[in-house]
Amino acid sequence: MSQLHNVFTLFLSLLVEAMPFLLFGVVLSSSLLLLVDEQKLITVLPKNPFLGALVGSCIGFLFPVCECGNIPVARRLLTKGVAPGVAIAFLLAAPTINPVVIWSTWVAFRGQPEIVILRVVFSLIIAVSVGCLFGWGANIVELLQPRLAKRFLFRQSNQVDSLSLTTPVGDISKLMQSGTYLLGESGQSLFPSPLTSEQTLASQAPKAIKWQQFLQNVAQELQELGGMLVIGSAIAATIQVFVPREIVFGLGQSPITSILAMMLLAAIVSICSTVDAFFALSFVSTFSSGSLLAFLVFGPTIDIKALGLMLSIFRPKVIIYLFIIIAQLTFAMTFVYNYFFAGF
Amino acid sequence: MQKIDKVALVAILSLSLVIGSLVLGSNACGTDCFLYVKPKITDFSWQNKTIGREDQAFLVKFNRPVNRDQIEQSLVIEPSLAGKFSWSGNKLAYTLNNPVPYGEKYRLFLDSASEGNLLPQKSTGQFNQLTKQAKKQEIEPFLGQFRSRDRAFAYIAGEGVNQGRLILYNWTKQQKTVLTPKNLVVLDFESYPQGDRILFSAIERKQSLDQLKLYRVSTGINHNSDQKFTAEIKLVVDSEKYQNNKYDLSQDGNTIVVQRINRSQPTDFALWQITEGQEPQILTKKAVGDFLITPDSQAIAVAQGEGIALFSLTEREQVALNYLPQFGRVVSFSVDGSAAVMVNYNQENKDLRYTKSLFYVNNQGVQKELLNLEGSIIDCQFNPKATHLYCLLTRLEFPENISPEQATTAYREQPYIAEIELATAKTIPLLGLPEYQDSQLSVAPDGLGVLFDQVLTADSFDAQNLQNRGSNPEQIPSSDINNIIKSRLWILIPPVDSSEVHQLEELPLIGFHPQWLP
Repeated sequence: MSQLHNVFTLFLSLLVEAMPFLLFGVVLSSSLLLLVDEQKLITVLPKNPFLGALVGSCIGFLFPVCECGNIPVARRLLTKGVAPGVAIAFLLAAPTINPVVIWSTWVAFRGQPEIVILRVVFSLIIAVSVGCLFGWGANIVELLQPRLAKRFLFRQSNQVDSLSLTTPVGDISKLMQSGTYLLGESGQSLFPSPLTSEQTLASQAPKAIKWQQFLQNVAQELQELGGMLVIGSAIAATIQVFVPREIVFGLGQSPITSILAMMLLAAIVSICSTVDAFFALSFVSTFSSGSLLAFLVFGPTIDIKALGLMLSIFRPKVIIYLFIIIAQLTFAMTFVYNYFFAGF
Repeated sequence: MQKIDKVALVAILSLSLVIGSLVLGSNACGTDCFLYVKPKITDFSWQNKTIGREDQAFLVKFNRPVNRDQIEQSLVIEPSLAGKFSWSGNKLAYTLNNPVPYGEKYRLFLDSASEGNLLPQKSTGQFNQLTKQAKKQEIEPFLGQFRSRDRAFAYIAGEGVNQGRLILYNWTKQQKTVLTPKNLVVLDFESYPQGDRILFSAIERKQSLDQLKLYRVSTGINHNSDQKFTAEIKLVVDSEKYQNNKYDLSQDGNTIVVQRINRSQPTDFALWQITEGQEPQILTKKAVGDFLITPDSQAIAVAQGEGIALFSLTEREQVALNYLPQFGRVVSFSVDGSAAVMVNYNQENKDLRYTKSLFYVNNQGVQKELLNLEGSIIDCQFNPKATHLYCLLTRLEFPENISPEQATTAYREQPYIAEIELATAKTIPLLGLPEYQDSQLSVAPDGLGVLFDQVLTADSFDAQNLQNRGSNPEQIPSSDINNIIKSRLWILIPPVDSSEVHQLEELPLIGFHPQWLP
């Protein structure tokens, strides 16, 4: 009984600590969704794969969405003709390299600023390298789902005739509906209103509608992500209390197993990047800084709940390649840090 | 095979090679490799610090997760300081059970050489593996050092050329230092929080009491002994426009509250708050009695009317924060501010009207009567852990064969020192004193003993008196000899365990008002 009590206490403490950040992240993400004109953004993106990937990684500063929200945005960017390298870099980096996540990581790891800095640096390296690799080494047809690839090619061949690219509302794939896989509640698209390639929230929608869209977006994201946070916190609290300390401690001691365990946990728990730093904080006493970094870097790029969303963009084999390469890069970098530099 | 497959497979294979070589390299490198970072202490909060009663716990930060059991077993403090371990992440907090003994140098060692009971040895292969991993954890040896403040007290000299001067007695170094100049007669003093300075009230010789000024003097305690120390005196509150009466210094040392009277307008009577670097402010103009600043330095408890009013020292309001009508006086606060002892004059209860009750009041809302007596409660002080109180009390003694009418005037007050156990409210009279005097007790910050002064008479009590005395107040030795010789300082040392008794020692110092430095 006392263990259940401990789980509940830990669960509440995680929840109370993370909730303000989630709220702030959702409000900011929704407001920036309204303020930033994607159309203009696309025209200024560099064509060079490396620069494109680098810039793509930093778009997260404009769209501070966590991994639950970045896939629809990446898909939207692709349908508008953004190079795949840029879109992939955005997909991988946006959940980490954005002000809300950096801030929440800072609040959680104020005592270890290197975690905050390295989280950004490692995520950037992964996003840029994977973005370059796929931007340079693959053609669109091999990379994207056939329907999306056709649309992309059509867009490229007919830049002017953008009307033909309009995505009818009813056509939005069920897979683009965020948050439905875990909770099965809302079943609505992440885009709160009919959104065409010409019609961006920031540029054209009337003010009243924009506000309505903003509020809808806030409510929906909060509902979906809040639910994920509750489940993630419950899992974290249960693991902390019920898994024998010797086992966790043993896993956390070896530089290799600690990283692998935390990467696995990141993929399974699927906690949103806005609040995952607080989740990781509860493991700080048993896991090395490197493995916490692995959790913080790997979690936002790959998680199980986003798998369905990713399948709406990429071919399955591409997703497998992405998983493996990102996991290898995360492991290599955090292992080097864990073994050779931890503590500096 | 498409281009994407080729690119991805090349990338995966290359990364696999890199990871393989990293893992192999790290295994070959082992724990003795210069690149391998062993768990180590990155921060020790008391390193090279001088600590005192306010320091109850230290923090040790590690660069990575460590085997807590191993650390707890390997950590050594010399001389030992009993305490409790608690962990938060990679931080270890060690909370002392008792205040740190003063005047000591301490060392903290951590060495992984101790192979103690790391993890429970279990028969399953998995746990053996874990135990091996844990055993592998070598920690970089660490040596930390810190010291506690010198044990010292100050008093007002009672004889000779130094009469009326403030003297610092460094118990650790057995050193006596005169802090104030010859021309000043010190009447009262209070130490600043670190004991490095003392606030004192004094008049110049041949001046009247209405010229009382407040000064601050440096004590040189914990001063680098290589350099010669000279006490520096600074005037803090003058007596030009106002006459200073009582005062109190806050525990953080930032605020002084003084009762002042306007020289040109004696009805202008107020409590003033004097904060470093700010203009003096009036706290209240109401007629007040004794006052004490609360240990958090945020408020002041003032005897007002028939109760105690609490005024804020941080908010500029002349309205009391709280009023405790049932108590007439705050005698003292515990060091951490969580408890206080107060006197109830029993005005409401006609059966107890001429008695006083000592109450223990804490921040949990507990109000407990500790004792009820007909005599006076002169002073009470908490011991450092706030488990016991040391009180200077009096009981009334009536001459034999007098009528009840005569009894109201013919009594005399017999002072005695008592120890009160707060948990049980058990009062144990310790020592009878020969003469009534308005004296104060001072309990050492590390709990060494209780200092007090006592007028010496021709037939003075001695330590033997205490040893022969029982714990019955009726057995308190009394003295009817009024032949005052001089005022000596005494220390009452509480027993270490219950089988011992209190020890009384006479200090070879003549003076008044001894006060331990914090």
